[in-house]
Amino acid sequence: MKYYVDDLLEVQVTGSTVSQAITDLTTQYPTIRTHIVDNQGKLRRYVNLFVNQENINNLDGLDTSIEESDKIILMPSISGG
Amino acid sequence: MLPNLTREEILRYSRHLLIPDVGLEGQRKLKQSSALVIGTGGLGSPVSLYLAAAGVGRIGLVDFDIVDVTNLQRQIVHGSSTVGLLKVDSARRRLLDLNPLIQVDAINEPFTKTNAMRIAKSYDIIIDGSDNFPTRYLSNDTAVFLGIPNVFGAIYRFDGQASVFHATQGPCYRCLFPEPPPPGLVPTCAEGGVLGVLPGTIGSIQATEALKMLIGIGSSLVGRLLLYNALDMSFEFVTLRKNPKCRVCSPEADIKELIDYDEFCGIPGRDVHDGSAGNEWDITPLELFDVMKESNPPLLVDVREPHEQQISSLPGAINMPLGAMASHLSELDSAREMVLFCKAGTRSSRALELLVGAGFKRVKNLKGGLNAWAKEIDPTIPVY
Repeated sequence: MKYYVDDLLEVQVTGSTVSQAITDLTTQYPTIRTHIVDNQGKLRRYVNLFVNQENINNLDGLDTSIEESDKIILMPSISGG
Repeated sequence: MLPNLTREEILRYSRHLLIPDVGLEGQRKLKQSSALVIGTGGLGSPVSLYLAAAGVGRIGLVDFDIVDVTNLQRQIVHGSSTVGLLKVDSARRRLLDLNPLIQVDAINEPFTKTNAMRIAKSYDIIIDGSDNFPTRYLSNDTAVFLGIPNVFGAIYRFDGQASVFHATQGPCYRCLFPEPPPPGLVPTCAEGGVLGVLPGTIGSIQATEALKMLIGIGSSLVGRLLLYNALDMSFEFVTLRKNPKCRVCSPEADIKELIDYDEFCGIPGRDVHDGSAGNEWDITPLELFDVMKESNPPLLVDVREPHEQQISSLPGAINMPLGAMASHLSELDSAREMVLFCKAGTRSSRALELLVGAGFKRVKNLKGGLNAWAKEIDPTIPVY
């Protein structure tokens, strides 16, 4: 995934919800958008987002509130072995 | 009733016996236990080596591949002396050299829905060392239906993931990933590369988790996922929870037996590993060589990563990496004949599918890629 964000492992984003944070991320790096959400804006089922170690599926999904100090982990599935 | 240890075993495992948490009883548990390792590659190598060293009584190895020299950069259970041998035989030889007191079952079969339950049912634990999504889902579902743990590990370039999926205690793999990515979206290690030592790190963690479960000590990774990055040496843990609607392990499960995993993962029936896009879309190296002499030759499109061009290339080729192709289609002239190529023909086959899906018709795939070109046309080009 870092391929789409100039090889950075961490990107600063702004927003008060996860959805807004993703919007900010994809505004900064448009080519990553299709790898995270589909055409309807729904999270791809092979990508997981964690806010401070908790999966957003167990919180409020993309509407999960976030604060400035929060860390969002974007985790795609990998299969190498 | 746990088996007794022989004097030879007591001597061999003395460093385990000295640990209070393991001791004689723990070692006897290991002697009695059995572990099935799916894949004897990057992950399977360190996992099987450490389980053998630890004295797991019976280790099953499942693989249907042959040792290749490109494996030796990371698959440390094999060696130059076993290139060309069946991987399971090569690994078995090494494991029994390390520890002749255990039993090693070499299962030279692909792990499929037809044989998975039969193979796995006599083992206490599954360790997923596979390298593709269909097998990962198969390993998961098999473990769920058998009620045994599935020790998960996955790698790519510098990133590793590890967890223990045990549906009777926590989430399964499908709770985390209900669906696989579309085929071709996530590169394999053959396509994207992997730091050789990376599976050593993740595989060792898998072996650690397996041993802890078999002995019954410590806190396992059930309910947690380790995210490891070798570049910044970071270890992050995220919480995993059971999906109350999981199709396999929840009370609402509608999948009650193994399914067609290739179909589930969208893998076509044909073998994309041979670098072919299908006869009507392929062009062989010899055919391309002839066509390039014509007055209006096709455009050569290199779909590899830019850094790979330093290893080998074809004159006049433009570079458009597969991962970025979808957003650069407008740069390609659909009226022009094009030949797509990559290292071995796999990525270029996928690129061809992408272009054909976008309406391109005058496009071909260089069958077997640059490696085939090197073999048939220009041996000065390095194969990798």
